[in-house]
Amino acid sequence: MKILNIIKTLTLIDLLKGLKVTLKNFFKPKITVQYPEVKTPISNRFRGKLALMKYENGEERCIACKLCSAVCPANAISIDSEESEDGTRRTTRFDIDAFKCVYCGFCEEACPVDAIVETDIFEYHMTENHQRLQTKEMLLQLGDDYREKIVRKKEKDHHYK
Amino acid sequence: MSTENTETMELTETIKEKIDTWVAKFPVGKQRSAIIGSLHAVQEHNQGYLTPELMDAVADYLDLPCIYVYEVATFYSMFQTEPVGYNEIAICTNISCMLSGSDEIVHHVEDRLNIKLGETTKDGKIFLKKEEECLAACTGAPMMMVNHQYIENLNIEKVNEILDKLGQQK
Amino acid sequence: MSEPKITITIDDQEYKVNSGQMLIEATDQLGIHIPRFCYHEKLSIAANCRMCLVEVENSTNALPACATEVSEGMVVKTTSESAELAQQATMEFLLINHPLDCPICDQGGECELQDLAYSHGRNESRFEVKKRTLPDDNLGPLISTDMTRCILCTRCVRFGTEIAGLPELGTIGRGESSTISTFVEKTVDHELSGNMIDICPVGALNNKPYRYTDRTWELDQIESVSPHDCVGSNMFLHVKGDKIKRIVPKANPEINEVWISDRDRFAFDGIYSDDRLTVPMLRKNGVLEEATWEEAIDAFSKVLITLQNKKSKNGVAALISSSTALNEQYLYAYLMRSLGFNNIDHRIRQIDFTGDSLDPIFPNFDIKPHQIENMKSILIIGSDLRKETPLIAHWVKKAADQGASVNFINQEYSEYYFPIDNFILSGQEALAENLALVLKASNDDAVNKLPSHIEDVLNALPTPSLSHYQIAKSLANHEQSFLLSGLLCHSHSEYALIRSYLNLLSYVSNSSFGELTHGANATGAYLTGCIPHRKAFGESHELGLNALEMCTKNHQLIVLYGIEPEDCLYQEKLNQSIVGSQTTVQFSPFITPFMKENADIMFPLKTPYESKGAFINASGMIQDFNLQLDLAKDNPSNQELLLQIIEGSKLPMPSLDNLKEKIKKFIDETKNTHNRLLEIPEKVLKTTKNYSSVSSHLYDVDSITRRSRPLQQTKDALSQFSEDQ
Repeated sequence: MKILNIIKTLTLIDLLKGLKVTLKNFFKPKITVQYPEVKTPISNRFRGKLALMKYENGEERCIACKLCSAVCPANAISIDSEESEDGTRRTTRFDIDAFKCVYCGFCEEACPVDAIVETDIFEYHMTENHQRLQTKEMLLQLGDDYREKIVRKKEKDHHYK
Repeated sequence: MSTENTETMELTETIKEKIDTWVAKFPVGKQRSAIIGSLHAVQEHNQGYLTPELMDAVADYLDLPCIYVYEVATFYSMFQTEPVGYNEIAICTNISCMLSGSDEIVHHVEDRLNIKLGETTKDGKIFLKKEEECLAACTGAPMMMVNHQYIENLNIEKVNEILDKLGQQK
Repeated sequence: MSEPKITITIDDQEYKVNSGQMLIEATDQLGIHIPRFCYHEKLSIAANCRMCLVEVENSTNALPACATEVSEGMVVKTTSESAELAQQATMEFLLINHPLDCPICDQGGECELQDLAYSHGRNESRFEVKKRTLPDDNLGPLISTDMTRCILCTRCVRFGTEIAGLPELGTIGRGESSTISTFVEKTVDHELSGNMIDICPVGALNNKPYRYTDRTWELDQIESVSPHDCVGSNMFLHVKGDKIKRIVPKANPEINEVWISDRDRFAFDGIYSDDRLTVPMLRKNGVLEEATWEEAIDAFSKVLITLQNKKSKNGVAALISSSTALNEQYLYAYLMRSLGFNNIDHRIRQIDFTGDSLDPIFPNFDIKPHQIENMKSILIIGSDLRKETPLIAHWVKKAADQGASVNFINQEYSEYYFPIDNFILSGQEALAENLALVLKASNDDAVNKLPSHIEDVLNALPTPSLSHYQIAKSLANHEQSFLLSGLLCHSHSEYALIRSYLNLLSYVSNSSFGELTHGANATGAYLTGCIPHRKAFGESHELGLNALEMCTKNHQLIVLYGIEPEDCLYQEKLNQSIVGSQTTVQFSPFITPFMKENADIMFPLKTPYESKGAFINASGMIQDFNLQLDLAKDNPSNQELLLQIIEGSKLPMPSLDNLKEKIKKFIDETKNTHNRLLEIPEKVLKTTKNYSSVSSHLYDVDSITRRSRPLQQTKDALSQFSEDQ
């Protein structure tokens, strides 16, 4: 046995075996995507950064029922609310902690008025710790900016729900 | 008990007498039972409807909380809490009358007077009651009640006749 | 209970239950749940929601459990197919017109309808017609309404009629258009009206200040005791983070049943007032500036030590609020007494101190609040009962509704919603005399005779009137009789005399006697030595100045603990004394412009809502509050603050171990050996001619209620404001 091992070592048979695999794949067509120049297609159900939506007339959808913060498994959402001037129930604070959020999408499912939605944005960064808190204004802005995209996404997925 | 309005309306002596006869029919301390009778008396003297002031006055006179009187006044269809026309027409639309064509009569009356159920004509003469429960005159269906008098076996001609008569009144 | 036991079968199991009760009462006792909306154990039976339908053998229809009396051999099925079918049908009907707005409804999460809709409701509605909507009523600043949610259970209507005694709400209209309303625009003003919020099974009546702020599942629940009156109502603080969001009652059948007064429920808003004091303040070079805790404690201790050494111990006046916790009172009294300062008092709403030598160890209250219900004859003297102690008024109402004879001797007329036999309107001057006349009338044919020197005093009085005789007779004829002296007596210029008469009357007519006291813990103040003539545990002591004497003099040091000059009956005098005194130290949760100008040292206090402690209510029941609490963590607790001052004053540290147990034991021992003092105070001189205005205001009892925004918007508070103008 010892002799056999010595021969194996000297002839580099194992190395050649490995190189054989390399050689085989070297000429095969490649499947790697050149991110970020090229991007993979994203599912309509992709769960990315959260946003808050408005009605078409510009009225906030959120009614401060706090079901999203209740269902959130990571306790990422904190909400304060009070009666607004027109007598409706509105949030005065709506913070999502991006570090805590696990993008499970439960909040979107729990929302009775489709106010909180998940966009397909997954590329974002921050440099300061405090920036992890996404405030109500930021979330509403995001909803405004990506409104069409979000609506399109939801419409496509609508039939499967 | 009604401390709300310090200036409660004073009832007239005749009404007070009527209320007293009603109160006397029930055991002492059960004057709540006399509310219906009292309200009838008051309504009669106020062109067929009640005002909150009058109801407060009744409550005050009977020594009851005002809300007890409001409850009775709003519950029964025979009490009106808004100003209404002088003549009251109530067309029965319950099952027997409905089968005998009361809907047609309602439409006719509405069209002729140019008002809907529950409204009063512009000249203030006729009030069409919104809804009337079965008046137990199914044998004469369709029927209606005009100023607390039953008029049975209605048809369009008969209704026209009655409306003409009411319209001529001053 | 002496009622005979009968056997009934519920869900194939045999039970022995008392006869004469309704099925739902029996099942509640047995722990079998039957769904219900309109049934409430403290209200009459309406049987109009039909949710509690159950199958009863030999009955063709399902029967409502709340209106079906148990009978021998009854066989009941609560979960059979027909019972469930009936309940599901009821639920479907209730939901026809109920809006689907649970997400914005404050009742969501604690809603009886929501819970039962889960267990008995259908997945989908079969109704396509438009739902009924109703306009909302404005019921005042405490209760918000969403009448569309109402399921017409009429609990609130029955509450108004039966518990409050003031029917304000009613069922207006009929059929589909029926609604709960006041009909004319009118607020709901009863002092217990807040309880309608709790008994409403849906979100139709809700807490207005709390409206739309939080959801039930976010709140923590902390047991507490009301700091606003001497009843000691039990309640739950609902807390989110370190902020109190709302207060709901905690059932205690001996004190507050299942109710609390509006004052207990809404007053807490005052602690979030803008003029809250959060840091110690110290006067440096004539300006009151923020200081560190060490600086302030140091400065105060220095003042204390200097005055102690100077042998000018009479130059110190120490006032304390009677609504402070037991441990604080004990430490405060310890601090002052150990330094040799004897001028310590909590009775800032009392003006007659001539009876101090006859003072009981602590104010009398022979029975527990709930026992008032069993009394057959009650005499109330000098009390605006509904405003002073709404819960005691509730128990008196219960007794009156059961046929007790309730009599008043009062200086002002106020409205009560229960039958009153005699109401003697005496005016302020004649309050004591009227009481004496009842005593005289009672003495004529009493078993227990009075000592002759007191009879002489009584004989000098005019002949009692018929009402006096009727009251005396009613007290004598009933074994269960009760004398209740109110807060107006306490603040009366003949308080000592009145109290003596009451003691005598209770002896002569063999009645129980109860004295309402200012604040939540006046009993504690007596027991911990916060009075000038006694040390802790009732030990007599060298006499110091009483509250009135303190306020009429200038001092080298005046200390106010938990007191604002506004709390004091003689506010003007106290203000002058503060201005004239060399050093003024205030311990207070709030800072007023007057104190800002005149105080030299100010320590922020935690309110009873934010600290742990114990109160002793009027009838001597010790109750801990806020044991699980940890609010406003930055500042030291009141107890720590006092201990630091004691340490700074170089005094030995007192032991607080077992203080509560010791006091409890002491109360039990003293209560048993308690005798009526058959004596009249020596000086019956009408020295104080100026009978100051002593009518108590419902929402002006302490610094917290004064600052509570919802309470200050009520009709009661507003009418007081217009009176003062």
